[in-house]
Amino acid sequence: MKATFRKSMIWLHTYLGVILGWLLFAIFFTGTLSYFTPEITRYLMPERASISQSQQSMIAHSFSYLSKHAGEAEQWRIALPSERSARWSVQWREGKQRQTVTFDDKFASVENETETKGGLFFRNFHYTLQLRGYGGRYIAGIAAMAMLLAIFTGIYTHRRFFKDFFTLRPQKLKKWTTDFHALAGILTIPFCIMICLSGIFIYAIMYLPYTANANFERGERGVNRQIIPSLPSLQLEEKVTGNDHSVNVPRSTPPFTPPPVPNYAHILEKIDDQWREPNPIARITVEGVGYKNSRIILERSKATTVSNRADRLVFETYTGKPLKGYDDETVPAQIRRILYGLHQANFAPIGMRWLLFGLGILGCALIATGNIIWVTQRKKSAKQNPFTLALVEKGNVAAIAGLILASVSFFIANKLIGHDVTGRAQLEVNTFFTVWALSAVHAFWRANAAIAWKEQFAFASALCFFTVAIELVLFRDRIINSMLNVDSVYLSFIPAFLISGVILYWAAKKISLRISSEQNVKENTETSAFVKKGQQ
Amino acid sequence: MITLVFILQLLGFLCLMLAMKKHAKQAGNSRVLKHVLRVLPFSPFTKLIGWILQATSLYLALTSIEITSIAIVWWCCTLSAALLTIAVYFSSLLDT
Amino acid sequence: MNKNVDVALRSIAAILGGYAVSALISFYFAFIFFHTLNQQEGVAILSGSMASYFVFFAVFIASFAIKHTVKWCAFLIAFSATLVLALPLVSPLSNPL
Repeated sequence: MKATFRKSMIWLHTYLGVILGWLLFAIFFTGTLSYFTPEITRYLMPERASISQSQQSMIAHSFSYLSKHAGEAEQWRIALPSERSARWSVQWREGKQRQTVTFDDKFASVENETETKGGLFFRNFHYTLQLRGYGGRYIAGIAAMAMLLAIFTGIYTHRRFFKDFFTLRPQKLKKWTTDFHALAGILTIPFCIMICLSGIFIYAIMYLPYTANANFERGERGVNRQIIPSLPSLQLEEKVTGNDHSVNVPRSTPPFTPPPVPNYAHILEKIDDQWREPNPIARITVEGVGYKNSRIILERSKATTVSNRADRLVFETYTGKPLKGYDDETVPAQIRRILYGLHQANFAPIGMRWLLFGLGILGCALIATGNIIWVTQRKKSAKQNPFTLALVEKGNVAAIAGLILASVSFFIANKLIGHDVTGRAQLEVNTFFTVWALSAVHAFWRANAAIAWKEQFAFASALCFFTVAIELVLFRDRIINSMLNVDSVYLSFIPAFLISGVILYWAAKKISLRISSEQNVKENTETSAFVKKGQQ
Repeated sequence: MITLVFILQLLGFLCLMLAMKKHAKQAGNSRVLKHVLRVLPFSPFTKLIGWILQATSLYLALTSIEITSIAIVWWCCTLSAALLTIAVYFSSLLDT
Repeated sequence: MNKNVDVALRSIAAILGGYAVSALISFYFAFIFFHTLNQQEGVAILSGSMASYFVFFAVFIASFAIKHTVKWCAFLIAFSATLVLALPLVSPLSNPL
């Protein structure tokens, strides 16, 4: 296209970046926040505190609760808390309604939980873009492929791969941004390729559904039915009576006898042999409650596998006899699951999670600096259409600083909206989008984009500090309790917001310094021109 | 263990950087590195040491973490962190 | 050729042409995987879909790298037409190899 392959790739890199940069930033930023989805949900729900009970006692309590309250249900579910989520709940279905009860550290059921989307708002946003139906997933898929192309073409943009990229030249801003873009690019090559490729493969069949539709009546669902292993369907015939199982339960008076408690002690012993890590169980499902051939499915935590699908063991519920369980998945399906698991990083321990978060932030900075470089380079060029230049320049502020502002506002909205306000979850979401829209209005209203950048970053910094202030004032009890119980997940949010506030403040300061130095240069040239004129 | 992997990668990158003339010049600005430069053997050897350090870090990661795939993810994460550290450090040594 | 027309043609070739070719090729990949590697239909479809994305990537990059735009567009159209015409050979996967 251009004179050489390399020049064509540079052209393609530029245009892919400038057209899709804003969308990519939004997806990358909310995606990076999603590394801490359960932690954010926990932070936004004051009643959630760390649970320190053993899995055995939690399972015992769950089953006794379910026996008492969910005797008629066909299926029971127990979700055990992880270190990250601190969410312990049981669930069952009564007719069409699903009932959920959450427990706290003292085995009491939690009434009236805070209604909020929590961390799921960011996570769902990053692949649905808050659109109804599947539209968002298609757009996110396009963005992922575009990012892959941008990475590939970006490698060509930078010559002398290893000899040049180690230096960041701090004094000249234009050079510094380009150097940073190059460095961030190199550092995140494997990470971004993994994220984008896995992002596409999660919906591999949905984006190219034609073979599935041609060969299966139900298209992708038909394919999934075939390749995702499932258990044989249960024929529920005989009910369990008091004598049929190894655990003795005192008989209550007829007509209603609650179903016997599953033989979990025996099952947990068996599991201890196979799943050696502490707190190995993530979820328990009991199918066919009260019937003889009821089965219990235990799902392992994802800490020991990179794949999206953790091990599952199946037993007969009331005798504890191990059953055959799930078949292994085929290799292509496993490849997809491993990529899916790498994308979600559920396996990551806390240190790795922060490193991945850091790489994600670098990726966001990569995209942001790319767009900023485009604007600074085009400002010098005489051929640039001033309208598109202004559009991209101001749009950058709205897309980047605006999104950061909106995200912090989401947290603040959660903290400030009363616990019992109806529809508070939707109010939080509305705050997010309102602040983002206002940021766009501000960006386009301000004549000088640099001032808009500075003001928005300064405001974002202030909001971060404000979040900490609210926490310290309104949630003192929670802080004290967390310090007593060493709830490090909750407590770590305070320094996190402080550090974010400092970084945003530093950015705003840098920009204001640059504005004033540019103004000095301008004034000096005007003065010297004036003096020269006077001398003539 | 992971910290040790990170340190090995840092040292590996340091050797690889110092083996390049362009960056060795910048290293002269640092008191610590000036002495390190005097001790290091000439260029191909330093490069070799650098690569050996990286390989050792990979070996250490694979043997100390039970699950291979998680070990590889750890190694890649600390590799990026080490590269970033070295790049920022050398940039601070620039003459300007 | 006018630069804007050139860019427009390349973009159409990259996006629409790339998607069309990879969609059509997914049928062929699925067919090959089904018969040679002896995978089940669903697995072959999954593998075929995953492999087709690399074709999209290649066509996209090629659309901006080749020198003669019109020749490339003509090639893509001819190639897609061939793939469409031969489609009944591979379409229900159960067709014999």
